[in-house]
Amino acid sequence: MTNRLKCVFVVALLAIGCGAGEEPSVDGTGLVDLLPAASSMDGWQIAGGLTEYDSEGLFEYLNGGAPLYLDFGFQGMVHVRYQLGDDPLASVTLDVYDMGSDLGAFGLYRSGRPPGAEVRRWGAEGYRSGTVAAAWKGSVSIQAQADDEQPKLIEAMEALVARVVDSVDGGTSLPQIIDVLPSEGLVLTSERLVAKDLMSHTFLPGGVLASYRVADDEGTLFFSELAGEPAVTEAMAGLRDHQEQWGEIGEDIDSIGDGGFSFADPGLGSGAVVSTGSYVVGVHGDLPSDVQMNLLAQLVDNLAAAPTE
Amino acid sequence: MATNGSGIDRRKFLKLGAATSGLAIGGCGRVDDVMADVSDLEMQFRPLGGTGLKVSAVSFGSYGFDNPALLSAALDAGMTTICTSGSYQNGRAEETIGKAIGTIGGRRDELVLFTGAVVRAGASKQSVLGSIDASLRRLQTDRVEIFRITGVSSPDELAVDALYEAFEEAKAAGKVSHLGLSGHHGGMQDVLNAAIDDGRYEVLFTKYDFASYPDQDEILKRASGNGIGTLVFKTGAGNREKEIKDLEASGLSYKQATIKWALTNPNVASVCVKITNFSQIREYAEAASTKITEPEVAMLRTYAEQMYDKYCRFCSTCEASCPHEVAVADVMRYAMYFKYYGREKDSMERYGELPRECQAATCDDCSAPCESACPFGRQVKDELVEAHRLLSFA
Repeated sequence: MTNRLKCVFVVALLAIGCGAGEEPSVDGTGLVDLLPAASSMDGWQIAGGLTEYDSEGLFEYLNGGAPLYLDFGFQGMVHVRYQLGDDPLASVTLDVYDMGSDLGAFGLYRSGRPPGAEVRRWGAEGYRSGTVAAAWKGSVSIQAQADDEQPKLIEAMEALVARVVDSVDGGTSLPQIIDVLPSEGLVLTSERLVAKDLMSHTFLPGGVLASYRVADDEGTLFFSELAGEPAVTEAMAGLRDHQEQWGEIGEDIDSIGDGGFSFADPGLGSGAVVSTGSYVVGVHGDLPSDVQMNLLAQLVDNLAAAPTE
Repeated sequence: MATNGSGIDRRKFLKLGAATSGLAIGGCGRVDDVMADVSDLEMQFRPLGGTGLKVSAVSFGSYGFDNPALLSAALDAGMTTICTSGSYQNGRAEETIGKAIGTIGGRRDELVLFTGAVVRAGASKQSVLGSIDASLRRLQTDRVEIFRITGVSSPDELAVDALYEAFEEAKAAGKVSHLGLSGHHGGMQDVLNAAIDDGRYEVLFTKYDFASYPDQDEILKRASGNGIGTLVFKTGAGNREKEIKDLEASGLSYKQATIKWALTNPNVASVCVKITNFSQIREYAEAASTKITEPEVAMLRTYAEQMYDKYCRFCSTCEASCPHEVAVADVMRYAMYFKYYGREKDSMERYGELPRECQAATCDDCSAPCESACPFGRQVKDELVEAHRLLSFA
């Protein structure tokens, strides 16, 4: 057995009923403790796993998706597959991630939440969309997938997620970081974290973005906190260089924050970006210019008023 | 499960990114962080088997990208081939591509779009058609050039009649043009060979690097001979950060070198790379515009030597030395399925179907002549003992 991946031989123990709260934690992660015992699910058995992955082994499980998880603070995960009877095509896969923090769990959850997903009251947040379900609570993020949309599988999938969430001892509040976003026009559950390269720029670190809708127009508001004034200056210059190359620079803005400029981008639409203290703040999309400026100004004010930690 | 705030908090989270950004700025300068002009680069285009399509030598891998403008910039750099899947972030990648397609107008016709879905045994024709329609909606287009089944890890997974029925119906409706498959699992050789023999697949999408699978070149050649085009990915041979960091100290780009290496094979139509920022577009487009250099070859050779004994190639060379007829390659492959690909039950069943003498039950007490026979110097015995324990619950 390698250090990178620990296959946990507790299938039999789970099958006979040593499930949530009864199994000793494995490697201190405790994720296995969260899994429901198969014996508590009538007709179900453990058909795959348990398999644990750490940060070095995650690439083997998720391929190109692994960096996204690592950037959000991934600490470890456990994978298991529950199967109904002897039918290999009637199974539900459960992946439980320790993301190291509430923020990381929220970031991962929101990064994969499909628009239009059905909301579920699981932990801090939960949803089901077709054969997929997910939730987060505390530092734990849960993802589940059923083989197909048979009601018995969907029902079991939802029950599994709910039970795991109930076993997590963690907070259910949304991260404070999104409180600074203006509320008017904010599209529900559109707030997302980006762990690195906000707006695909390497000179911007992680940040927050959210969608806004006013009448039939949509736009995106974003902000990123940098290490200090030199980094902000570099980032603003980088954004200007980028727009000079790929789009058009519009008017200078000097009435919001520490100033910035408007732009027209072939991929993003019209927009504006300003700096304020250690933040770079921007907006883009189809929203009218006055709405964009109003959102920018509100966000800048909110960031200035936000308590520092 | 402890869920207190001992991990990254808001400020640490943002500062982490800021620190990374600062290093990048300090190391390379801002100009390098903005995507530089690419007009000096000339993207190669290669035929995709017998499909009649030409694909850019570097393809845009879309997992995790957020900014539709990134795809527009990639298009300007000649990356007209876009790889995605309905499963990438539950459709979010397709949606972002769709936003980009919505802004490029007639340039849509320049694109070669790959999308795909997992199609399991037991899937219905309607569910496959539903996946295709959902992808088209998210992509804001009426067609994709290639629809592929993803995550294939066994030839058995190709025997899904509903897939072929659905594909033909979607093709007749003009929604898809060519059928492909993708997988990155070890043991893909069996899948690729089965797909070539099947005759219905026109495109393969597979892992390919300079340190794995000794028979991969032959498979790609055979595919090409059968009019099948191949896109490759995972060219980094494990992308082991520590080794790469040391090798890049000389100023070379490991990623560029691996792309260039893959493109030295005329049977590789395109290398798919994940692109999440503007800097990568220049870096990867440059790789597709220039030939591999001697120092780059030397860097890859050094890396391959460092990786030499770290994984099994399933070459079976050691089996001739085994006094017990252990099917080493099969056992290793099943252990890999068990450990890395969530196919625990399947791998245990396969292992159980091996004749008793071909299992690794006797390895623990063996003098292990296989180890001296392994051309890669691997600790075969320890791994076989572990594999037996995994696959038999011994």
